[in-house]
Amino acid sequence: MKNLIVAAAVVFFANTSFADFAEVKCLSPKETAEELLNIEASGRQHPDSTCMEQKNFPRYRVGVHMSPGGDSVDSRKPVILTGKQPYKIESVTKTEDATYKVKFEYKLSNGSMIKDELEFAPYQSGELKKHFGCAGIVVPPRTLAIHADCLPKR
Amino acid sequence: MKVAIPTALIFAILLITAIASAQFVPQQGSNPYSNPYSASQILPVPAYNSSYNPMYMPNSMSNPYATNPFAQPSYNFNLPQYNYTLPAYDYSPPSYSNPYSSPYDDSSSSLSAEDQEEKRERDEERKEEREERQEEKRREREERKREERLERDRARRGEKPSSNEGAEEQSGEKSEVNNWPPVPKSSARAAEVAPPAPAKSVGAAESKPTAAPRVAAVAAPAPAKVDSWWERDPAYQQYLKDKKNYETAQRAKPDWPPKPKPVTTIPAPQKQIESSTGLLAASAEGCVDCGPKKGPLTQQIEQLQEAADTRQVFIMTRPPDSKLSEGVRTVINTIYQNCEAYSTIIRPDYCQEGFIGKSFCAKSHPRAAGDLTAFKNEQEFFSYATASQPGSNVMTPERPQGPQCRDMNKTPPVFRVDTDGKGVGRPKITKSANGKVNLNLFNEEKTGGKFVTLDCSGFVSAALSAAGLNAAPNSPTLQVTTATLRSGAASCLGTVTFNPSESIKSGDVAVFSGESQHSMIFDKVGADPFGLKNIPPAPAGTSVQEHCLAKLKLSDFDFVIAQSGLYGGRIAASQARAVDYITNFGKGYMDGINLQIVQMAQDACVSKLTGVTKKADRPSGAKLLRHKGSSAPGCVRSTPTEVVGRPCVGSCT
Repeated sequence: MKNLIVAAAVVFFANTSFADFAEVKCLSPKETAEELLNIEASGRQHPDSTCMEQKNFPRYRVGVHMSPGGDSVDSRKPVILTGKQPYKIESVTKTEDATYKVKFEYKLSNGSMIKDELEFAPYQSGELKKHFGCAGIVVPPRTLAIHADCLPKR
Repeated sequence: MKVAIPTALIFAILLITAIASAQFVPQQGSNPYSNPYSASQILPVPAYNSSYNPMYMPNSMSNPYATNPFAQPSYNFNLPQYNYTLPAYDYSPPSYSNPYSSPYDDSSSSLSAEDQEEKRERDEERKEEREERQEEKRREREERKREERLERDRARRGEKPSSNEGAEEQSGEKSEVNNWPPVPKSSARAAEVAPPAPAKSVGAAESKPTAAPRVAAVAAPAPAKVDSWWERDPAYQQYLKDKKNYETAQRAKPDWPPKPKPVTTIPAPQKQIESSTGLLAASAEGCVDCGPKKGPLTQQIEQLQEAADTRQVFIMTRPPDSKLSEGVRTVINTIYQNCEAYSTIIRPDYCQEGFIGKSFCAKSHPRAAGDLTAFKNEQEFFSYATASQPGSNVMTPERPQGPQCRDMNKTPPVFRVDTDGKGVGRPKITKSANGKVNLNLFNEEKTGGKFVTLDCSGFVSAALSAAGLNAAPNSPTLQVTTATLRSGAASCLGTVTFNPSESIKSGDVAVFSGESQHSMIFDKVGADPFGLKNIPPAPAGTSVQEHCLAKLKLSDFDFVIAQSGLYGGRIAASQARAVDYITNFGKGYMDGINLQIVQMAQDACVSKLTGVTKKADRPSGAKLLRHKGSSAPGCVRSTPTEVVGRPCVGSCT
């Protein structure tokens, strides 16, 4: 019985470990787009985000985006998002490079609407999935955005 | 009489005018170039030159020779005086070799040969004893100072005094630095700086050579001043504390100390290229960079990796195999003043395991992200950069490798972007009057003398220049940026087109877009850089693009990335294996540059499987450029570039 419990624990932790993503179940392109937009709203491009924890996104390898060190500095100011589902997806279109282009919009607290795009590559199997998870954002949204709940408490 | 009076009057007026002009022109503070003709006629050239002082010149007159035709000869007149001191350097070597011998030379001539020999031995013994005593005293003095400083810092922070183990080690390290080089450094440096001796000396130049060696001999043994500005930094104190803790933890391990292993050498480049025929398949299915590899090149790397375990790097002694790769080697070896720098491939755990570089990595940065915006201000950046020095940068030798080498521990090369247009991160590329192009990587004055800085496209510009390649036709001093590379303004570089038999090559420049503005050079490229030989044709009815994404293996990527960027903890120029970079840069997240390289591999794969050519240029992804070489007029220079600091690493650039 004891061995069984240990074996079950090993299997459980092996499956829930996020060291690699070979065994995770991937979703449809639209569902994937929704999850990736949630990652964006969590502040993927914001160095001070408090929501970018791997346990929140079991299907993708996530973390705060790190600039590789080019010769220009990202001077964009983030917009602050509110509400449970800030983004509204307009369309998810497959490109000839096997990526998906997601058109979406969201409303700011001052009432203005912002339309933006995101492009992701799906990794349904193989080594790329094992390392990156079910998808990777190859073209991020133009506007830097973060949910109000993910900003550090002052 | 009527005629004589006006004539005398005219003469008087002329005389007064002449005297007046003679008084005004040569005075300091006036503008000596406002009336060059009257000045030259009235004043002899030497007298005029003696009052020459650029400090008094208005800015608009900063180049006197452009406006005053008489200034040039007068400047030349003074040159011999400058060269007059040269014999002092020429005569110094004998004194350096034995500065204590000269007082006894005369008396010893009257002694017998045996006595002379005995006396010489005695003298040598005395000299050694004296040097040992001096050295010991100096060490004690330094150790005392360091301990006092540490105590002061601890007291300031309100900590209890700890054991002096760490301090002793620090002291040992420092004294090594102070000991080296014993003597020749200053003489060689002086000889390097001084212009060649004049063909003909003027005045008493030859009359004082005997006094010169004594002056040089006295001045030479003075120990080099240790630049310890970082020691006062609180971040450096934290570094010492962390280092001590880390070392204590290491010593507690059962396998301590680690056994050093011999470093083997990779065969000659031609043989290596021939032997690197197969792909570098992982033995375990789906395993990223783990398990034994089959490819010969990777086997060699792993062998060396094991050997280099204690240094957090791979050693890869493969020489450059393209013109631009030669430039990469010159830049990397020169900026670190180290012949081993180009062979040093940063391991992915450089920043994540062990102490080396730890305090300087994104992982340990309190704001999580390692990019520039994560630093609140310049001071915070300097604080972190300081905390990582000395010792975090494995490519900087602990001490200069020769008398012509700079000590890069004093101005550590770091990655830095020019955010305010001051030229930080950019090399200095100039063209001299004789048409030669000069490349100077040492731009520490841009950071107040603290760091040599290089940003990503600064590195590409420097590599192009060092290789004798122009970015645009007949523009040897043009520096590229990520934007100009992307736009095509650097027209000597053309976009690469993948075809079924060819993808990336050594010396290709990759430019990235979107949130990942960056540029880098692919180097040490294997025969099958993306591991495409192992990918079977796509089954009928399936998307080749998707098939490639499913079958690509990062562990099969067989090339090295040379860049100045954040990987490896902000070091100024570094190399990493592609697989390590993709799976570890930014913790290998599913965004940005990692995926753009994967897309490049995907395009090469599609081209191979479909037999269709494909441009390596995604509008919102990466663009791959290749220098056109001599096929494009004005893109290759016939004269080699003069690289400042090259004499140090001349044998390996």
